[in-house]
Amino acid sequence: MTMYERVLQRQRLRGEAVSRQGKLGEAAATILLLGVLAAAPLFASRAMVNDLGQAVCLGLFGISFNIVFKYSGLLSFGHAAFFGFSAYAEALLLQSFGNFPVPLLVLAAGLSTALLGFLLGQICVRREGAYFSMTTLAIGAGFYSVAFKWSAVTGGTDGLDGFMPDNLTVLPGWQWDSPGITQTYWLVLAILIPSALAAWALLELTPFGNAVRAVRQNEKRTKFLGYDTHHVKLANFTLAAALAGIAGALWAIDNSFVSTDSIDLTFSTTVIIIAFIGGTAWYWGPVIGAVVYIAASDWLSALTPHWQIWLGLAFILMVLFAPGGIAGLVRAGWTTIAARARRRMNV
Amino acid sequence: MSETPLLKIEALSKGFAGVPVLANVNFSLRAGERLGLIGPNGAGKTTLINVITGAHAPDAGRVVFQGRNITSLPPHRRNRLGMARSFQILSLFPEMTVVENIRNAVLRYRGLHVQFWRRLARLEDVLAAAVHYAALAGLGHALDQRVDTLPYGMQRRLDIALVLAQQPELMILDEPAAGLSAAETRDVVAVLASTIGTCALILVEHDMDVVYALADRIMVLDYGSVLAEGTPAEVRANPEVRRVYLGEAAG
Repeated sequence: MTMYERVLQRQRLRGEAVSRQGKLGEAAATILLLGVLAAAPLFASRAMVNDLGQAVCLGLFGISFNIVFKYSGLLSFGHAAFFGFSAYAEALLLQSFGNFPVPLLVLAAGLSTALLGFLLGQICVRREGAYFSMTTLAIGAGFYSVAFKWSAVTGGTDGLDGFMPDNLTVLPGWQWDSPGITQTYWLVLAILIPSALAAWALLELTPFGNAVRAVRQNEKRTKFLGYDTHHVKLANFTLAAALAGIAGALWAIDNSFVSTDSIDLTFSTTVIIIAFIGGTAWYWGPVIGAVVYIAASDWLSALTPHWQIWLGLAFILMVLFAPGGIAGLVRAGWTTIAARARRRMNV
Repeated sequence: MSETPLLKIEALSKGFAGVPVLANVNFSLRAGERLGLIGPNGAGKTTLINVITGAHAPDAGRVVFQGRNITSLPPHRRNRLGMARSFQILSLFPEMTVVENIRNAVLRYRGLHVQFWRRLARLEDVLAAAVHYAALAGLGHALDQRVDTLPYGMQRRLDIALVLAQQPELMILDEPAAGLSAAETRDVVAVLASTIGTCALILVEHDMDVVYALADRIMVLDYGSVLAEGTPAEVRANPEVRRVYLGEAAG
């Protein structure tokens, strides 16, 4: 037994040494990113904070898409169904229960979306590759047409607005009288960041996350090791749906407006573009992608009405020449610089 | 014999696209018994294993394990009853390290595999068990190596370590020495001989030295049917077996 303990100790030390640098770098980048986002209202203009509010919601949506893509290897073409469903749900909840604390309403929308993901996941997660994508595409199209046609509930093409209460209850006994952009932004972040961190911890730190990765790497062997691989993938899909739900609910609060733009098939492709521009290999990559997407659409749309062509071109170039996205480029650059610095110190 | 067999195969038949691969196969295995399954290429050995472990559903017949009809159970449910298999074409977790591969098996065996409220890194006894099985399979020096950087012979041993780490009642090994050099084959046989213990074994293998070293009973499949069955000496002496499989030069 003592030999095993020694081997164990050695393995732990060595494993830590090998992965410490990479993990430290990722942790530093995460803290930097989240810190800059949280502190943005201190140095950014109101217009920028407004944009950032949209960007972080899109970013969480991108993380949700990427949880299915990166961790289960499944490409969803109808992810906006979850985002849009929750955005409408949040708008309707605020209409009826405007005096309830906002985090509770967001949680309710997120949980309903998780349930929706669990039910729809039964259909699509059993399928692989293109069949999964086609099933999600059909689901996305179905949800869009319901939102479009059922105008009694969704407002049809007009969408829903005016659902934000004048007095926003942050927590029981803590109300904001018509909160400003900055206040809303911080409220959004206060719900968004813990949600994203919780999902990250589930996937990166727990046996459940390990099972998800094992199924992704070799589903057949995992099955023959006794894992119920369908349930593992379904649980991951449900987790992603929950995050998309929180993103959609926060989007409704941040925009005070919900329309079919947040549930149509174009939006399902937007989230793919966001995730790939930001980088799918890093958990927080889609947040960078969302910031870049919003900034680029602002900047490009001022220059040319055909801005989406240029953005699409950038997406194609990104996929062809920088499949790791912006996060991948930054990491590669950083690794090169660090290696060069280390070499110089050795010489 | 009043004792219920560990595994009972009853009138099993299986075909692919109308071509019969298994035709009315019957046999049973007692607890702790070690069966070598041999036969020419295409005799249906791997198909038989796939039907037993749940990768394929049979066209007819039953698979009874521990007295329970498991013919319609999916692979993961059969595995949890205590049967673990290896693969002729290696099937590992290529981007994980040796110890992480084995940990996947240990987590499942201990029922911790989908816990989401505990930190994986804190489950030190799971890691210790994984290290233990790595050492048993002679991989103690390669714990942190990623599997896709591992030489083939070591990947073969890892495959066996995954099976051992599930502490099965029935071990099903599909050509564990496939593609190995003579020296590596001897290592694998040594590892198996010292670790199988009281576990029952179904061993598919072309290398007869491996079969003779590990099996106490041999079954010969030919064209999907049982051609002969018996002790190694009986099978070796069987003229029919010599004709279709072992070749006149054998023995």
